[in-house]
Amino acid sequence: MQPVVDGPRVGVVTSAQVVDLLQKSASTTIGAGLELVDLAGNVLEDLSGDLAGGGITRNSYADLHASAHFDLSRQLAWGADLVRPYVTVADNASTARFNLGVYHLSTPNRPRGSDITTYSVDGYDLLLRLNQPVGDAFSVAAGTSYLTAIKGILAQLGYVLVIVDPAAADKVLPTPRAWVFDDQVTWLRIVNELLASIGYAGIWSDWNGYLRCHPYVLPQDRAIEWTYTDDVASTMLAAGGEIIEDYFTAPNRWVVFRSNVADDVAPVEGAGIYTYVNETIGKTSVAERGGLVITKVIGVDAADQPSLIAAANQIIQQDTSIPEVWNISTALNPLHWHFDRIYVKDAYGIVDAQVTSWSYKFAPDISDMEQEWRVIAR
Amino acid sequence: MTVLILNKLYINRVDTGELISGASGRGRTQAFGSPAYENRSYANGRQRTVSAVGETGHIPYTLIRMDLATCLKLRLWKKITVQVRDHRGQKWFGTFGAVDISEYMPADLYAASFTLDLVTFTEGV
Repeated sequence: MQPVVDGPRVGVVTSAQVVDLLQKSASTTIGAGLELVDLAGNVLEDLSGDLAGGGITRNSYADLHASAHFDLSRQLAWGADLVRPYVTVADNASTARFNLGVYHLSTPNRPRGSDITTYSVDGYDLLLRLNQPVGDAFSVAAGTSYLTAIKGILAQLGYVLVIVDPAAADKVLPTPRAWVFDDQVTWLRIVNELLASIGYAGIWSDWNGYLRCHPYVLPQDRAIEWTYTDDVASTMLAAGGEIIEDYFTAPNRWVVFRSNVADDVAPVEGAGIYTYVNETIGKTSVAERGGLVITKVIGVDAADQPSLIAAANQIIQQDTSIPEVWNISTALNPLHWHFDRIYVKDAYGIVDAQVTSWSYKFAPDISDMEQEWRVIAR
Repeated sequence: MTVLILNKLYINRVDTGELISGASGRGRTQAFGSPAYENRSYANGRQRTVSAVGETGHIPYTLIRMDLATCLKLRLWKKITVQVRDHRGQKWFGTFGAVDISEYMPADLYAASFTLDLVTFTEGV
């Protein structure tokens, strides 16, 4: 989540004023703007007068987390220019501006037969440069600092605004790491695999156009960043929405076998096969499903029987962790960004959750914000 | 304060300065609004309004006793930014997308109506 007071809000509004604007104000006015920027974050031109509308969508689980859409009344260098949209929220007391990230512009279709031209163009997350095939084999030598390797890749691709948490600065590759020539190997994948090796979360781009790398912290261990309640004086929750907890096809019996045993040896239970039945634990158990047994059969590469059981336990843990997902509309909250930790207290429960996706439209088409929340704990 | 009283309605093209003027009908209702204004409902019945920045404005005008040539010229000015000054001294910048022309007495004169949609315009200094 964006800090409540950050960037264009510093020295303009207080934290309390921003919270009041978003939560308590009885009447808010939403504005939008667009800036032409470069990779160093320099504002080259204000395009706000040509912005006729648009919207932004962010999915924290996607490869490219954010996408945007703009209706523009002038031509730009399609496919090359970078833009940074923003929204403003105002009431009678204060006005706050929220930057919404930097986007690569696509190449829009040009309308024919009209003297009123609006270019409807899509915008792609700043990670687009990273999400390209390497087109060659790539390796990092043993002894190289992970963070140095990552910074080198980002610099090579032209990124200037990068914030890398130095917590793992002293960690070096114990052995060489190589990626073979393959059309599936992208720079993004290499960076994220290097980050994963040192316990970092996947790279993401922030509201001002910085790329961010930092250690992964379990959602339940992160501080709550925003609270949604149904308090009538400050609620931002729209009526309706839906709660999804789809465990209808979730297995409760697993047969996991080694797929790398020798051809002349048939796997048997205890030697190449591990079977587990969830009789009583949770909503997906055989007991809770009224005796319905749903079996999952899966082969894994495992060095031996203990490795097979360890791999099976990970699969079982994953299959039994059925996420409770809330799809809900809220009043505009432009502070939301990447895997935000929230606390929700309303008639449907008291839950800790994280925001995994959101979207809304810019002015002059003003929509409520559509959000997806994944419950961490009730 | 000086109040300018005009005896006609004056319409000038902003790009060329070209003028159309004439007597105007009365009873104009100026309509102003907030774009995308909406009163929304939230949990527990909370009501909250939201709107986009800016203000919309629409002002209907009718020019009377117009000759046909002037009516045709007005038709050509659709979608072109004009400055309108009325007999109350008010001045607006805007465009109009349609002109309704009706017959007027005597037989060679017409009345032309249009609604000026106000646009944001910065005058040169």
